[in-house]
Amino acid sequence: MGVPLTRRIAATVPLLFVISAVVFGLLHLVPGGPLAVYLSNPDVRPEDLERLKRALGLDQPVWRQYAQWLGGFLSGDWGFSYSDGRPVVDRVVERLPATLELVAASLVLASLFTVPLGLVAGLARGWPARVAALLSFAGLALPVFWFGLVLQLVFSLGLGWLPSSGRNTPGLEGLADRLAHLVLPATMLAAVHAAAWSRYLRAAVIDTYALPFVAAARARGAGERVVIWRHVLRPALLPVVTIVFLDTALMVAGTVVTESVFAWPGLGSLFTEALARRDYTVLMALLMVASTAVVVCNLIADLVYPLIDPRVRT
Amino acid sequence: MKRLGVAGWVLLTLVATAAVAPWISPYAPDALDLVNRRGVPSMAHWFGTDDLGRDLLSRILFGARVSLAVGLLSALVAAGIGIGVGATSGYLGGGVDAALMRLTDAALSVPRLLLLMVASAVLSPSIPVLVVLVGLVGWMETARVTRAAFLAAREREFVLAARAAGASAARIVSEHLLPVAAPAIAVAATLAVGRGILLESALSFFGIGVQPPAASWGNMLYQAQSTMSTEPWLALFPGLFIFVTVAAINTVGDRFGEGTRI
Repeated sequence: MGVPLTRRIAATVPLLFVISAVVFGLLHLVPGGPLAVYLSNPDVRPEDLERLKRALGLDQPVWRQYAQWLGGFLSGDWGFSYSDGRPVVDRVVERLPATLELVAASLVLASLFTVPLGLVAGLARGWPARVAALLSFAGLALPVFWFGLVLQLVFSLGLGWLPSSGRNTPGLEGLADRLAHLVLPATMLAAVHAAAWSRYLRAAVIDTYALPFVAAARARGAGERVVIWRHVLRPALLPVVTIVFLDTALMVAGTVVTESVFAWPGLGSLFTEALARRDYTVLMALLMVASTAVVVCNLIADLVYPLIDPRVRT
Repeated sequence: MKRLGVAGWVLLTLVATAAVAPWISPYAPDALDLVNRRGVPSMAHWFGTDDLGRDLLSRILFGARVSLAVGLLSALVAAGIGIGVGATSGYLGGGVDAALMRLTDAALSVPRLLLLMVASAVLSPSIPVLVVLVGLVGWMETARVTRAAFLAAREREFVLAARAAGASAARIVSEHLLPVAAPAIAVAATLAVGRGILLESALSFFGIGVQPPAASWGNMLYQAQSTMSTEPWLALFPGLFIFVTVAAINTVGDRFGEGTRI
């Protein structure tokens, strides 16, 4: 189990370079390049455009610009934002806590949904099992952004229970207020993953339930509750835990949609802002952050697996 | 056509209504009715009207053509690349296989939505280009299942017999290996249709996919977002159609899978 993951990381690191080169090329080779937004602005004179080009190094060949960007990026100099002139690192770092908070909350929520859904779908009989399986099946077909809109429609615009956007009410700094703002975006981000994970858990639970040691535990006189919680759920969770770690990186990327719907001030909304303004230094940095998150999550999954599964310990 | 099931019928109905949309839709999709702007769902306008007085049901029917076409065609692109990569990998094996599968793993770990968003924001693609872009990020699953099926079948007797009889590589692949892999490929390609519809709608939701005045379910949601508190129906119906369509496609895919498990 450990080896393929390590190999995947070995393949992913060169991939970071490929992605960065492709996106860099895409942003620069398009007519107008990173300055395309200024071309349609009548207040920007052609002379200004020329000067801007020279100042930003855009008159150099693309490969040289890329080499310069890459060298800077690797040494921690991520350049300056095209839209407000501030260092890209600062803009990313100030948005990071909001996104981490959102992702952490979604992970917890998704896990809370996954276990009962997976267990009921796998072990119960009759309609409860069918409802649980249907819920996780429906979750996979859900257009995430629409789900967010519906949550907003029902719980904030309709019932008025929860705030519809932002991270806190301006001027208010209570924990309750923060949590109230967190509930809907975290639910939206968690739903798809909970659906996928509970399908994996269901399959794992069904497989595990048929194994001899489960029958042996029951033969020893263990109660059904002990059998399910200790002998079925624990081994069945192992493969799911790996997937949870791998999917965490997808969650980070998924914040783009969630944060846009709920105006959550994190990296995801920074991405949509940067996209709208063709702020290419910020875009490059965020794509690299998202791709690095993938590598890191793979690594964590790789390292954690032996800790939770005694069989692969050597 | 043994048992279509509910999902199959739903899907068939959707495709059929989308195909005949110009003849059955109650209004033209871009017909303005300035007296009935922002109308709640009624007998005249079943799903209501938008801020320009356009009939939402008609726009959904026409949007279905765009959304379904992008989903289907992008899945075709994805299946084409995926079968090519998977067949090469599974047939040749060895170093080529290892290299291609590393590439597939790596491509699977790319945040595809973000890359797609950058590409379509910068290129402002026409619908055909959009189809290709969505297809380009969705071939990996098909490549994997094709490879797995090829590897399993490669050493079976009928393939060895064909090889001993002097059949060319192209002939072995197309006449002996592809038919064995077809059911698994069908499942992967079906799921790719659903994913393509979701990706297109996500892009259009950000205003960088299918461009107005053409209607797609995603860009209808994009336009509905700002007026959601006053005209919620504009956001509810297009999303519901995406949801039902993708759910039906996934169900059909699952059923393919059950019927053909080896």
